[in-house]
This record gives sequence, structure tokens and C-alpha cells, in this order.
Amino acid sequence: MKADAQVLKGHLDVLLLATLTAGPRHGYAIKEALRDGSNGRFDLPTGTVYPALHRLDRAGLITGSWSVVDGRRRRTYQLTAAGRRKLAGERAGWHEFARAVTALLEPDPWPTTR
Amino acid sequence: MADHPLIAGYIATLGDRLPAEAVDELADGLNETFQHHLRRGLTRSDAAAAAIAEFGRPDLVIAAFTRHSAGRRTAVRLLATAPVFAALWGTTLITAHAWTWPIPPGAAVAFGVTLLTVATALVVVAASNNPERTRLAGPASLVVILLDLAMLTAVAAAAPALTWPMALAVPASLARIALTARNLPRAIAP
Repeated sequence: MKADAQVLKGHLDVLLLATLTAGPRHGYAIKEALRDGSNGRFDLPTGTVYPALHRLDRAGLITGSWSVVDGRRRRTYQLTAAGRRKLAGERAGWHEFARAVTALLEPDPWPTTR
Repeated sequence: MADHPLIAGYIATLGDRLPAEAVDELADGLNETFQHHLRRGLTRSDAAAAAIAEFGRPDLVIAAFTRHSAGRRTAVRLLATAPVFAALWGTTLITAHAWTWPIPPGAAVAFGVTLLTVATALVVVAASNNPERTRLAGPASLVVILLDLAMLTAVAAAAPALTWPMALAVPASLARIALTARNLPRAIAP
């Protein structure tokens, strides 16, 4: 969905970091976690997830390592300490932001009549 | 190694445009997507086609890599801060009557031409979806550092007195030199 892709643009990094909180994952599993965790709303083309992972790796927020599984080379990503700190900070900021937006968007309760 | 000719072709297309390290990661992801569809019971050809469809068109993936590249981000940052530097140095040069400084006209023209060239290069990098072009960001960053150093040298050698705009422009340029130099290895890396 195009609108969701636009919304996602500014939050992709932190959402990718969040998919790694449970432990190391392969790129495809990260993409699936993003889709399943958002009830299908954030279903990005798989190929566009890797550039973001590549950049997070270069920024030191995640680390990728190669291993051989069933004779195939596979790359697994996991959070670094800097990535965990970044995620914690972004989570706190997001909760604060969401509370403020909710307070503004939720309709005021009807005034009570005497 | 690719598990199907369709996938091999797709990876070869990426390989023509992206660094080897990035292609390795993408090949791994594409093969994993292919395996996922095989496990779902698709034939090898259908699984390969489904994996490619799910991965996205090669130009989309290449554009995403370019957008996330350190070179492009460097260019965007330098361009975003450029108006501030233009205002600071413009005010400095006007208030310090720079046209009276003993600077050879040839050097001033060379500075101006280099500045325009590097600005054009940064705009090209920032606007491009071509990973080859993002490599310009490294040399462009180096030239920005040299231009800042040239400006600081000119001020130190020729400015008759310190002015308020100069007191702001000099530390701003020193900060840009330090930050750009720190980022240089990333901007130069493929």
C-alpha cells in the first residue's frame, strides 16, 4: 500500500531493529517479521529490505555474519549494543509522540449535563 | 551460487550495478526467498519466478541501495547545510570588504569554479538512482574540505580584522571539515 510505504519510510530503521530484539535473524525472516508483526501492512519488496540492513550494518547498529547451513552460505543479522541503545531511545520517543497524538486526536468526552 | 537460471540472471543484473559485498547479501536473500517458495510446494521455475516477483524489480533494488548509500547521504547532508555556509561566508566576505584583499584574481576564479563544480557533483549524486554516481561523493567531500581550508587560509592571511560574521563562519567551517573528514572513509567506500 503506497501510503503505508510513505509512512514506513521514516521508521524503517527502528522497525528493522525491533524485529531483531528476539535474537539473530536471516534477512528473509526479518522481512517476514516486519510483515507479520504489522498484520500485513508493511509488506515491502524483499529486495528493498537488504539495502536498509546493509546501511544499519555499516552504521554499527546491527552486525551481519556469514555461516554455512546445509552447504549454503547464509547471512544472519543481530543487534549490536549501539543498536539496542538506539532502539530503546526510539521506543521511548515513539511512546511519548504517540501519547501526544492520541491526546489530540481522541474526541473529548461529552460534557456531563446537570 | 544461484539455484536457478532465472535467479542467476537476476543476480547478474544486480552485479553489473552494485558492489560485490551488496550483491552477496542480495543473492543470499534471493536464494532464501526461492527456498521458501520451494518449501511451499512450488515447482523450481515457479518458485524462482515467485522469488523474483517478491524481491522486486532489479531497478527498484538498485535504487534502494543507492538511496541508502553513504555517498548519497553525504551529498544530501552537504547540500542541506550549504545555504547556511553560503550565508555565513557571503556575509563575512561582504562585511570584510573581501574585494580589497590581496588575493590574485586567478585564485578567486579558480575557487569559484571549483565551488560550482563540486556543488553540481553533489546535486548529481543526491538526485541520482545510479550507484556508480554516488561514488562521486567521496572526491566531492575531499574538495569541500579543501575549499573550506582555502577559505580559512585566505581569511587568516588577508582579512584585516576579525568580524562577527567571520567569528561564526570560521568555527562552522572547522566543524564541517572535521565532520566531513570523519565521514570520508564511508563516503569513499563502494
